[in-house]
Amino acid sequence: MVALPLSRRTVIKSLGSASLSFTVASILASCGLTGRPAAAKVKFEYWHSWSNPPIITAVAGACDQYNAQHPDQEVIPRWGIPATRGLLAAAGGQPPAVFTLYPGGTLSAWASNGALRGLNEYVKASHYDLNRFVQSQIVHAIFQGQLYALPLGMGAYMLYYNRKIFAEEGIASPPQTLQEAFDLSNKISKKSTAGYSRIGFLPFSGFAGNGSGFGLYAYLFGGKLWSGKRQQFTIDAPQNLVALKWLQEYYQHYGATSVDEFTAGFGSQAQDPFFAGKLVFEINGQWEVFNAHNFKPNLDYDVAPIPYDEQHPEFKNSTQTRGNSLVLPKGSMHPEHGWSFITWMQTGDAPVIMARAVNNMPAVKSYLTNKQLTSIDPRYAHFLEYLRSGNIQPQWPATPVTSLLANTLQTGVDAATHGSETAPAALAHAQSVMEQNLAQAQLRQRQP
Amino acid sequence: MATIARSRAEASAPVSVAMRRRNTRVGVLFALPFLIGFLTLQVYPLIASFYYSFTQFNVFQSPIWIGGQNYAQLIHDPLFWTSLQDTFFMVVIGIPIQLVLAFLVALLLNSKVKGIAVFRTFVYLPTVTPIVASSLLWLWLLNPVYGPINFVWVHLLHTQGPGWFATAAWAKPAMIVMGLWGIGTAMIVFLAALQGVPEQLYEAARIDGANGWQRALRVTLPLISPATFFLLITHVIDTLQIFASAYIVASGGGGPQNALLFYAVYLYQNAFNYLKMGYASAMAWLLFIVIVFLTLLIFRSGRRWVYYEG
Repeated sequence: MVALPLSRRTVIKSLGSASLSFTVASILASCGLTGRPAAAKVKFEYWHSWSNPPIITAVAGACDQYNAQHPDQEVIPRWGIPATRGLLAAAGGQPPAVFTLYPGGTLSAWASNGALRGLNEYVKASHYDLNRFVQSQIVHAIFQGQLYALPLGMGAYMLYYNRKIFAEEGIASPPQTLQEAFDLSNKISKKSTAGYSRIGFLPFSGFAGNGSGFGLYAYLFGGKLWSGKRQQFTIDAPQNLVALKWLQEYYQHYGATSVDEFTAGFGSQAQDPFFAGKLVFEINGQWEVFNAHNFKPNLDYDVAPIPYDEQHPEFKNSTQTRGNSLVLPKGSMHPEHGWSFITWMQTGDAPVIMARAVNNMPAVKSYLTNKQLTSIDPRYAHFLEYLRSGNIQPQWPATPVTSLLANTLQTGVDAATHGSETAPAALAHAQSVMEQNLAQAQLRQRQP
Repeated sequence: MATIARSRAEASAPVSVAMRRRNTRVGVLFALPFLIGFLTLQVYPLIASFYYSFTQFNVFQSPIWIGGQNYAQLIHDPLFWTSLQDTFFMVVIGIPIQLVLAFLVALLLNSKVKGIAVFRTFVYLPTVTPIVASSLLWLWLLNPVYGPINFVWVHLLHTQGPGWFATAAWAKPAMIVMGLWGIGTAMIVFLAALQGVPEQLYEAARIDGANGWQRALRVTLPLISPATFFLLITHVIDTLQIFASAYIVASGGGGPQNALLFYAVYLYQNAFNYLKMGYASAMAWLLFIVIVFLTLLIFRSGRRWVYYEG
């Protein structure tokens, strides 16, 4: 073996000068002094809570398209991040540039707590036309005159009915009114000693909870939960009471506890109560069309407008909408790029890609006639058409305490339908809870 | 020889002050990671939560001092009382059932039969199941429509089975039934205590004419009372903080007519769903006071019924 003529001192010297050169080169490169053009790409993150692969892929694809069209920017999608974590990141001063929130509560709560950047300045500066959206989705996003979000996609409700069972029972068409729905339901419900095996229609089935559904029934009976003009809750309004009394009678007719036992047997996917024939007609969202495709492809069903109260024919063809929103958390380093991204998401293929992945519908009106979407399924096309012509309301009012509203209503509706409280007492109680919480939130807003 | 004698003398010499200081310094340095973690992640949040309980605080903005309003509002909040009621139901009804059953099973597993180790393992095994898995399993077992328990109920009794988690009346009993699945830990403690009861005491009792019931009442129960005391305290503290299983069973809500709205679930809802951190902090402090009070009460009552040998 030949010994290399290197002393220890030489080796240390060489290593020292090499590392010095590397450091200097790195500093020069980072300062853009090496003569090559500096890569000034702005990187920012978009967080969302979805964790199923088709949506992750769709979002990543949309981000890739955005990046390709904006060589100076790179939006990095991060998936599976729940709102609570986004909230903590925003509170800790390290929010992403863009976040996806749901208008039912979190959006207005975040807005009222000062966690979101108002978008009015961007709308004004870029003359951005908000009329391009289905208006209920914009109403969701406006809090005290300030826009806080642009819609990403939306959902709506319609009446699903099982055509096979209708034909077997000799029913020619779906019910037009809620009263007809009750009569039809009685005609086709089945009960044995083991309890109900089929109930024609249950008003709250298909909603996330009784509280979520009550807003729709209040509306169908001519009521509302919130007065935008007075900035006050109107839960104990007389029309809402009529709605709750109708629901109370409905559930007490079947026995609220018996209904609880019956609904506890409801499953999801192929065990969905509508697919399994346990419910013959129900109010549900457009996602049920996609579920039927996946889990019960041979189901003979159709969709129809939501039944209205016979005293209020003006609410024929009504529905409520929900959805996802794109927001810019306050404290983000790249609000302009965030705005550029969320407006871009309303253009090109992005709304179609997202609607197909999330199984919802675009909130941009011009996409409601998009052939790629209308050709998916005739029932889904019916939803898209319903959004163009129907009486569309946001599911939740934008208040600082909307996140509390669903649970408060659920407590009241449960108490009334189970007979542990009278309908007026249940609504009065819900009203008082919401007023108290609203007053506290307003105290916060009055603080400098 | 001289070297050995010197080193022995050094070893027996009193440790110098400098050495002691150095030992203390090194000891503190070793304990420092824990101390820093304890002070910043436990003590500071504890004190901060006490301060926040007198404020309106939503995480994003600085807290507003509102004095005792959170505490006053709690007293007028029906859901607070509902959550307390639900939780105390589990403490007052659930814990005695769990402890009695754990004791009876321990008695059975204390017998000298072939394969007893296998039976003990079977009883203990469920306690190592993750709470999410066991909760979902019990949701299925107790499903009123397609659950196997109601299937057997309907076929044996020819009446409709209970609604379990689906109905307000049966939701908490269902939670108790689900809790019985995890009696393994209490059973092990009882078993260890039972094995520590001296055989000669039973012999003496037998000679005195005590029957089986009297031996259990006068010999077994007093001698295992320290174990019962320990289990009672730990079960009360755990049950007052019941959260994960209820959260999973009721999908984050309060269950049918808020029958599963346990205290910690309502606290969580206020903190993270409604961003009422001040209100939630006040709830946490009230819970802390209740736990301290009940623990002291059990300790005080223990003087009357806990027997420590020697």
